[in-house]
Amino acid sequence: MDVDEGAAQEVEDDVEDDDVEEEEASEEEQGGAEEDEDEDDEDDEDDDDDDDDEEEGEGDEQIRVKFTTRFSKYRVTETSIAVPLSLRRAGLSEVVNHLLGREDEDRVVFDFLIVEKDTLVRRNLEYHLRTLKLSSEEVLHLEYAPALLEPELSAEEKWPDWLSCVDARRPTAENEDLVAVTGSYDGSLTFCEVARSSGAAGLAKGVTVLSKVQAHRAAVKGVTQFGENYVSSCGKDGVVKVWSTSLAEAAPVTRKAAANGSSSSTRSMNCTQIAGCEGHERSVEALDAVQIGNFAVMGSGGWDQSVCIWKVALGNEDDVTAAKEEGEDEGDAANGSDRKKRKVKGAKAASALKTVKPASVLSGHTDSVSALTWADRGSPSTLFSGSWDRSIRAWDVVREVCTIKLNGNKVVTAIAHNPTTATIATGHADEQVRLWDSRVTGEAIVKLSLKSHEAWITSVQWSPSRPHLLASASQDQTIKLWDVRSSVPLHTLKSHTNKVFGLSWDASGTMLMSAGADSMLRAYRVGTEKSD
Amino acid sequence: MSSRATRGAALPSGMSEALNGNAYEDESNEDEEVVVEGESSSDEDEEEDVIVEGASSDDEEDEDDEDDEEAEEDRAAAQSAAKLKRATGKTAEASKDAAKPRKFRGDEDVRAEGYASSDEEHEENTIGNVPLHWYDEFDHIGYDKAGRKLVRKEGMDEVDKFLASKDDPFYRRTFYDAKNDQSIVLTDRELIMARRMLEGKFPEQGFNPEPDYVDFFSGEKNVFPIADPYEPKRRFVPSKFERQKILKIMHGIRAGHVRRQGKPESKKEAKNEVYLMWGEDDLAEDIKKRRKAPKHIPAPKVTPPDHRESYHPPEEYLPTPEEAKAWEEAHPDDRKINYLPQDFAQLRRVPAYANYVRERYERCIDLYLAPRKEVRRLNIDPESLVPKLPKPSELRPFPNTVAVTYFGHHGRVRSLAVDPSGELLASGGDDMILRIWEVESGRCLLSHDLSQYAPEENEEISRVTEDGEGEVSTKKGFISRVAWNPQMQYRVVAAAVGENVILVDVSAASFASEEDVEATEQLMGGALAEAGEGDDDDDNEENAEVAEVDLGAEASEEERMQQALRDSRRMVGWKKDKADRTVIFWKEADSGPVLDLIWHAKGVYLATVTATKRSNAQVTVHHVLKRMSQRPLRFVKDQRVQRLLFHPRKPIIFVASKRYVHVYHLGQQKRLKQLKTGSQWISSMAIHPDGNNLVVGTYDRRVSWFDLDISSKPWRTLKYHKRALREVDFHDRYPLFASASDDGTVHVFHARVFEDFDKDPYLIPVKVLRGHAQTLDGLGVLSMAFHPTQPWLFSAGADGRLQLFQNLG
Repeated sequence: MDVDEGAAQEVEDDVEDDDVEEEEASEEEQGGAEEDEDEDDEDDEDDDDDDDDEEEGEGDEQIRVKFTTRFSKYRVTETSIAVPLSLRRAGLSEVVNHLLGREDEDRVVFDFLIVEKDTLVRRNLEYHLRTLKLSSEEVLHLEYAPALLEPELSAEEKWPDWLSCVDARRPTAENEDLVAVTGSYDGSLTFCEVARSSGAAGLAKGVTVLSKVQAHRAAVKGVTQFGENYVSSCGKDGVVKVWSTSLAEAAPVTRKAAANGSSSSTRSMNCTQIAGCEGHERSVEALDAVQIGNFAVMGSGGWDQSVCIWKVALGNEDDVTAAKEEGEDEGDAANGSDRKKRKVKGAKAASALKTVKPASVLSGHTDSVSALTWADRGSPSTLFSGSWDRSIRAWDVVREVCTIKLNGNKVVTAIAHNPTTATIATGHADEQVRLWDSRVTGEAIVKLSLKSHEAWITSVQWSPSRPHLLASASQDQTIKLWDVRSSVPLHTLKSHTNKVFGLSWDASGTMLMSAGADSMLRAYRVGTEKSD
Repeated sequence: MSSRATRGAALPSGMSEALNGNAYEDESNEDEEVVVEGESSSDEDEEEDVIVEGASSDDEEDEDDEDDEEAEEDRAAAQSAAKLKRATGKTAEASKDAAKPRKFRGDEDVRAEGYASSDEEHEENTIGNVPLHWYDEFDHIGYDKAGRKLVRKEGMDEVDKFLASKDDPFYRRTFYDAKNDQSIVLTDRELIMARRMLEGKFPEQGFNPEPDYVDFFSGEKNVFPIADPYEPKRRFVPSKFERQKILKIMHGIRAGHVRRQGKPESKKEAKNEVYLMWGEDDLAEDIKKRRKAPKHIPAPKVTPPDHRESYHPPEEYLPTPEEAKAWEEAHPDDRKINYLPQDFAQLRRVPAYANYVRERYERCIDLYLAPRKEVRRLNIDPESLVPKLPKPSELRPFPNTVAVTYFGHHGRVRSLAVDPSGELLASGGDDMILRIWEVESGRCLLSHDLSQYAPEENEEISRVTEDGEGEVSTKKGFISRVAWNPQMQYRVVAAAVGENVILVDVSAASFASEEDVEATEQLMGGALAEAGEGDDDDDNEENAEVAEVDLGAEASEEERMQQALRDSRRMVGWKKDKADRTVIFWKEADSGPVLDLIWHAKGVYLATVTATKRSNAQVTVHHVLKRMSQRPLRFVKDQRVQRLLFHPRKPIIFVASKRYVHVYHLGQQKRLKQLKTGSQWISSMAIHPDGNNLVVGTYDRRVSWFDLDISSKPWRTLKYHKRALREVDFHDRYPLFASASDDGTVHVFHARVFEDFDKDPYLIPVKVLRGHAQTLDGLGVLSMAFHPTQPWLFSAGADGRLQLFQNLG
């Protein structure tokens, strides 16, 4: 009891705004009116603003809470402390900071999780107790972690045309720059380096274009980086293409120029087309690819309502040469008809071009397949697809059957699967993000609907590092970050000035890239702090 | 008459003696009376006989018998004298007269009940209240009820008395009743009573000399009567007066000086009347049938005068100038009150009533013309008559929110068309650029500048003003109509610019498989190679005269074909754009601007409407693949064909002229029907996917719903738009219907059509989409179409906006 008493005493002395007292003290006055003025929809993102907590009077009901954390440097005593029910995230954060003895600059903003119900504290405790049907008599177990601060725009670059998609999943070292690839409505793929931190050079300097490939005859609709250095892309020209890329150091002269502050890049990207996958009858809207051994396994879907699975050999020189001949034959055949353009466009990669037919065609959707994702990027056995026919299907790729069909009632425009929590996130035309349990086979129920966007959702992406962090992009020109343990968005990024179409996390989950109809590629640094 | 007088005198004396309880006297009196009465009644009878002429009915005798019995019952203890008289064989008359004395007996009985104690009943000696010593010298002391002598018993002597005083425990309370010659033993209670009487108290213990007053006659209604007298006999005896009266009347009838009122003939009729034996005897109806006069209508109730009618009404009753003005302006029948309240300081200032003469006159007219009639006023809440519509939220999905806006057009967007899969959207308008959009992103994927096809001179545009009348303005050129080929394999959009029809290959916008590309190319250029000379053949247009030679039957099939081909060449000059190989266009010979173009569902026929003076050249059907054109509807007499519509399944084409919709069978080449819209100028048509319901929108704001199976007149005509309708459309998959109007709104309806005929289709308004502004020249939404697969709607407006509405919620 000594420790508890001491800690509590300390809190009482130090925290002037919060009426934190010991249990005995709290028993004296219980008749106070519970003021419920925290019902507003305020997201409480302004962490320093805890003025409203100050107004909570002496008559507040209190609850005993136990603080735990997985961050050893922020650990405080685990004995329970009585805090007012009116406390919100900021107030709780303040309490922990006082317990830690951190003053002004040292202060850390924490996020609190109600462990029993796996819910993030986004409003005052009383609201959460009421909605979660918890008793205020029992000790509330709160786990805290440093809060995710508002992502900081670290780089941006203007493109000549609308950007439809972006991917930055290429694994890079911690200190290295990201390599992102964007797909544009003019049919080009652009590789660029994105600095992890915006230096003094400013935002525009953060993005360096490595190379640009005129990949498709029509708009590019999807692009994926997979494996070490492979890229696949699809577009409205109905073709899925696989590219092999390699970073090349430029000549030392250019390096010097770079040192002098010139804008020319020091590195460039060699991009070679490995294969063109032809099998779709109409434009391809969605694509996801993984590398398994020496093969790229890709799923694609489009307006022909079918999902095509492709298996493309990546690889060794023999294959390439064989493919080369094959590709030339194909090319000759194409020459005969009126399809010269494709040949011309693909000329750059023609040396390694081979044409691939789909390994399997999964049909079942009755409208455009607009979103696709592999269930697990390590073992491509299950593919999730979302369609304009308003259903979400899981396909067993090996058996070529549809295993799960989740019937929604709104057009699906985006899909992402989180294998850690077995949760599918779907973006819909009705401005909502819905979460589904991917293990449920029978009657599917939406686990959670995230409503905050004001236009079609165009993309959803799970953070690779934090299992509960979800990013969503919308045509309402915003990107929102969600902790799916709460239906209130964590942050709203409003830097785009037109529809946002593409969204991608980097492999480490520290950077978020977005691309949109304002032809801008933007990179945000999302702060993380690892637990130990 | 003297006997009557005696009776009258005798009655009171008899009564008084009876009251005194002197039965003896009473008896004698009665005897007398009976005798007297007997005589008098016989007298009376005689008199009556004179009147009735011996018609003393059997009833009367019966009555008498009854009376007789009653009397016997009532008088169980009747006086012996009366009995004796009866025994001597007195007639019934005498017994009847006994009713009289019974009356007194009745009274006496009441008294006996009220006063007589139980002791008196046991009294055996009936000598009455006479001194006993009168009987001292006799050995009896009186007479019992039967009149026998009561013989005196041997009394006890002194010894006996003494012995009794010793032996009998009740001796002291025993005394001797000399009158009845018996000894009486007093009971304990009687002793107590005697003792109390000696003490001067009330004999009954607990007797309350001053009981609480019970207000019997309080006016409160009691269940049981307080007084309980016998029902008097007179209530049961027929009234003599009435009998007299009746006899008099009967006498009068017989004598002939009293006439009956009814007609003797009606009696016979009544005999012949047939009665409904088992029918309900509905009295009310019977009465109604008999009644011949018109129904009585009561005069209307006059409302009592109120303050307004005062010569000096309170201020609040005086009308404000506006009210007074409104009253003056209103029609006399519409006024709530037929006068205006006026204020006069004094009564004498009130002038003569100006309307007096007129009102009197009107009153007279009213009376004379009898205008009073019953007006049935139905007290029905108008709300209850409106059918209950389901909530719009129950009829989801329907488009309700702007989802995507397609930016790029300048000026009015006049027409739009959706790709059959729903991926792409084509639009065209005043800026002469045909644009192909990606639906989901709002990206313009392809644009074709068609300004080179615009006519050199200004073009006439017919437009409809607000009042439904046509108005013609001019404009340089614009894309007036866009139509997407309904077959997925043909990536072709047809557009109308001025007099030109332009086909644009749009396969570049989105990927087309090789088959599709081939099909499209065939449609666009395949046949043109054969008819290659068409490219340079400029004299087609000069050769305006279209030979409509009716070939004779002897012409061979091949010749026919050749002739048809030549005809069609003359009609239409197909050309390929030299710069852009993806475009072909043509201009019809001898034609005006293209008003409408539609694709047939097969995707190879394109039907166009041109504004031409020659009525038979208005509608042309082009077989695009063969480059053949024909005018199957040569016999269209209607001059101003506006729009065309193909039936979804049957070979039927709907041709809308200004006022009528003609239904033609293309195979049989004949007109099946003519639908009359009843409006001035048709603007648009849409057919329900089931093919039996046609909706026509008109420039005079009406929407007419035709059930093609039933009638050539509209099943319903609706008018809800504020300005001219521009477009109507049915959704292919969802039960949705929409209409776009110049008022800038699109009304969305839930429209359900049933298979069976007994259910009417229903049309429930669910949403008004207000995405477009109304421009200054009075134009709003110019074109509108549903998304082919989703419950979404595209709309194009004169404000240059092109929008997609989606279903939210």
